[in-house]
Amino acid sequence: MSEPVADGRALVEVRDLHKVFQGRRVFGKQAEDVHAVQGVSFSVPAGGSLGIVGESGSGKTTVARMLVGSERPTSGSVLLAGQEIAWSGAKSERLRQSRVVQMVFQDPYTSLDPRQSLRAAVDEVQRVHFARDRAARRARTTELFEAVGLGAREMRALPRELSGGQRQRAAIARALAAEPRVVVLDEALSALDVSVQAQILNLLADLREQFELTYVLISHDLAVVRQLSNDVLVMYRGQVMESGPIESVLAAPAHPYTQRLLASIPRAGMPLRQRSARVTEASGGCPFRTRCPRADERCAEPPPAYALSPTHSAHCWHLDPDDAAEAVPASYLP
Amino acid sequence: MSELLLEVRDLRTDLPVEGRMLPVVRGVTLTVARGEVLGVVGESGSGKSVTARSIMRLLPSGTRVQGEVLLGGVDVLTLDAAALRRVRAREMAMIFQDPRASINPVKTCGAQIMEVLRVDRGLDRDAARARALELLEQVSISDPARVMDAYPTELSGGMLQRVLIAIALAVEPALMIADEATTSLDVTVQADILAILERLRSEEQIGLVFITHDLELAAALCDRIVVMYAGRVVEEQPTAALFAAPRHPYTARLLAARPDIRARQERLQAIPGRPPALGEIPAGCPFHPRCPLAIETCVTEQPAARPIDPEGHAACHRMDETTAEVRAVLGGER
Repeated sequence: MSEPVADGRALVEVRDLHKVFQGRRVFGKQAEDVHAVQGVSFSVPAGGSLGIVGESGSGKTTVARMLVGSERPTSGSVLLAGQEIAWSGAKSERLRQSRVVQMVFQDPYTSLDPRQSLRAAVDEVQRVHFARDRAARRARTTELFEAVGLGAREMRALPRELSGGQRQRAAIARALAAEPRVVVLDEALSALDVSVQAQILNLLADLREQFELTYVLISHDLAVVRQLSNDVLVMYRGQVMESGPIESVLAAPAHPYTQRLLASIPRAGMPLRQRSARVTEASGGCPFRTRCPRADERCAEPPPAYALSPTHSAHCWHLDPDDAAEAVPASYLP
Repeated sequence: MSELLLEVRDLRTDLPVEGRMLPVVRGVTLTVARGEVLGVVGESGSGKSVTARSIMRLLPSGTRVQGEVLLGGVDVLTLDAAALRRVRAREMAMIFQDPRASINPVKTCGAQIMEVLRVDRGLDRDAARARALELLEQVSISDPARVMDAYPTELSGGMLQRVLIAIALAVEPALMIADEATTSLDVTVQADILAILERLRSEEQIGLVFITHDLELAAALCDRIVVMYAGRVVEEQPTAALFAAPRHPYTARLLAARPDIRARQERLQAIPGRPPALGEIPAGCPFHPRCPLAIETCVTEQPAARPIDPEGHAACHRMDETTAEVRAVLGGER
C-alpha cells in the first residue's frame, strides 16, 4: 500500500472547540451541565488520516458529530476546505457540508433506511447532490458497489437481508456517493467480527487511495488506529491528553493516561494489577488526576501543553525532562 | 492436574427459531478445574454464549439441550427446578456483557447484594450489610458505603460490572461464567476487571469460564483456550501453545487477521467470507468454504478431534500434514 501523500494544507481544521450539554431535570433532580468537549483543536491535511482515541465519555463522538454538522459547538470553529461552518441551519449550508464530509457509523442501521433497498439509498444521495440522469446515476451506483466489493444481489437487498460486514460496505458506498473529501468513521469497525473487520480495514485503505480520501477515525482500538491512521489524538473526558504521529505516540507515550491506555491493551502475559475505583470524579484541572499515579497539587490547575517534538505534544504537568524522577519508560507497547 | 470442577460432554443445544429447531451448539466437550480459567473464543454464531447458557440452564423454554454438564459430578441438565435453584444459589454464577441489563434499575446496589445474601445465604440484615460491604471491597471499590446507597443509573458501566461481580460472589460460587463481561467496558476498566477475575481464581480457587470474541483478551487471563466455530470446538490448547503453534487453520487465520499494534501491515490477512449464519452451517468441516487448505474430504466429512502433542486437540483433516502448504497456513505467531 503506498501512502497517500498529504499536501500540507489543512482540509479539516478545528479550533478551540467546546460543547456543553445542559443538564436536564431527571426524577426531579437537576442534572449538572456536561462539558463534553473542552477546547479541542486539531487539523488534518488533505490525504491525511487522523485517529481520535478515547474511552466512553472522552467526547470523541461529540467531536465527530460537530465535524459533520449534526451537533453545533457551544464555541470554537470548524473549517472544512478553508471555509468555516456557519451553523446557520440553512439547507444549502448542510448540503455543501455533506459534499465535503460524510460519516460512517458503528451500526449502519442508523444511516440506512430499513425499507429502502441499498441501491435506492445510493441513488438518492446522488439525486440530492448531482444533476445526473437516471442512467448516469445507475452506472455510478454500480461502480460504487463494485468499489466496496458488493454485487448486484446485495444492491437489490434491504439492509436487514445482509450480514453486518455487507451492511457496513453498503454504508461506505452510500457515504462515497456524495463524493466527499473527508470520511469520518465513528467506531465503524467495532461491531464486526475479527475475520470481517480485517476485510473492511483493507477496503478502507484501498478506498482512501482510489478516491483520494481523508479520514478521521474515531475508535477505542489503538491497533485499528495504527493500521489506518498517520496521526492520533488521545482524548479523556473532553480534553486532548496527547497528540502526534501514531508511531511516536505508541513508541514513546508521554501522558500518564496514554501510558495507562497502552498498558491496558489485552495480551498474553500482561500484568494484572487490581486497582481500586471510587465514584468521585475530578472537576477542573487535569481530568485524569483522580486516576493518575503521578498526580500532585499542581494537577488541580489546567495542565500546560508540552511539546515533545514539533509534531508530538502532551498536556501534563509532569513532562519536564529535567525532572529525572519522571522519566518516561522506553516502551509501553506489548 | 488439579481437581476437576466442570465437565461438559458432547453438549448439543437446539434453539427454536421461527418454528424450526436450529442446532446452535453441535457437540461441545470441555473441562474446567478448580482455580483454572478456560477461555472460550469464537465469532458471532459460534455458539459460545449458548454453550454458557446451556451450562447455567438459562435458555428459553422449547430449547433442546442434550449431553452432560457435570458440576462437581452432578449432571446439571437432569436437575429439577428446586435442585437447580440450589445449585445456582451455591455453586455457579454468571456475569454478562451489559451490566445495565442484568441489574434492577429501581433498587439500590446495596439492596440487591443484600437480597442475595439474605435469601441464598440466610444472613440477617446486619450480617448481610457487613458482608455486602466486604464483597464490594473485594472488587476494589474504595467507597463501598457510597456504592451501597447508589442506584445503578448513578454508576458508570465499569463500576456496575464490579457490583455485579460482587453479587455473583455473594453465593460463593465454585464456578463463574463470564460472557463477554468486559466487552462493553473501556480498555482501562477492562484491565481492572481482568485483575479482579485473576485474583478470584488464584486466591479463591474459583473455576472460571471466560467467553470472548477476542483471542488477545483471552490470552491475558486464560490458562487454556477453546476455539469455537459454527457450534463446534475446532481447537483447544494451552494459551501459549495456541498462539505459538495453532493447529486449526481457523485459529491460525484468526490470529493473523488482527491488526498489530506493534507494526502497521501492508495488508491484513483477512479471512474471506463470514461466519455461517444459524441454520446455514455447511456440511463437512464448517470452516471449509473459507479455508485455504480445504480439500474434497473437508466438504464431505466432518473432521473428528485429534490430539495435539503434548496437550490439546484440534479438528482438521489436514492438521498432521507436514507439507509446505499446510505449514504456510498454520505458521503461528507472526
